[in-house]
Amino acid sequence: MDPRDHAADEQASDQRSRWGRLRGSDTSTLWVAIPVAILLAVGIGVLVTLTGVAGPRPVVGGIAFAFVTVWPCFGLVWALVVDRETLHGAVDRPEESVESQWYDAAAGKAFTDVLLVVGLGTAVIAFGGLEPPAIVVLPGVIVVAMVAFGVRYLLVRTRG
Amino acid sequence: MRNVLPELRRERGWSQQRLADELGVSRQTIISIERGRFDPSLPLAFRLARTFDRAIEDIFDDA
Repeated sequence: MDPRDHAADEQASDQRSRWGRLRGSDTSTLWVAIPVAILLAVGIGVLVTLTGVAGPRPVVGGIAFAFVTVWPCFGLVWALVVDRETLHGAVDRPEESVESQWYDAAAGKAFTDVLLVVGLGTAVIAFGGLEPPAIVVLPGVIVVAMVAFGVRYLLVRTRG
Repeated sequence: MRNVLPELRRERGWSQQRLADELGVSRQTIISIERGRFDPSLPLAFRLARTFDRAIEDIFDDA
């Protein structure tokens, strides 16, 4: 690569930001992600309040739901609208970087872990005559998957 | 896989970050390749070879 090209790349890199810009625009993603996330979270809060699924105090439950869901809503909207090439530190070929190999290895091993844990859990529930509610079991499976992937990724990364 | 990437990089006076930028990969990728802990994909190996004007087998040694 010509040194001038590298200098141009570095200049372009300087124009990148932590949160990036919208696809096809110079607008920061924060101008869209924050208000849309708040709207979505308020909508979820209103839905929870109207349906009364949060318990005996529906308004408090709705506010709690809105507060808890605003962060994942922000992450989801941001991921949908961001142009990754405008992110500080984003590489041109992530699929060829070592982190991609770590991700694949961790995902494969975590899948085996989830099968094992969920299988054993199912056996315990079946033979123990237990009847846990689905609202507890399904989030539990999600937590097991997230923890398994996180631990596996850390182990793979530590080994290099 | 053993390789002479650190020597080639130092000959040019490049940092690991500079080489990573040239190849479009993360700095951690360069670190892992230089330590022999990560075998690059064939396209990445070709780009490395072209970057240093060497043949792939001149850079990597699988013995």
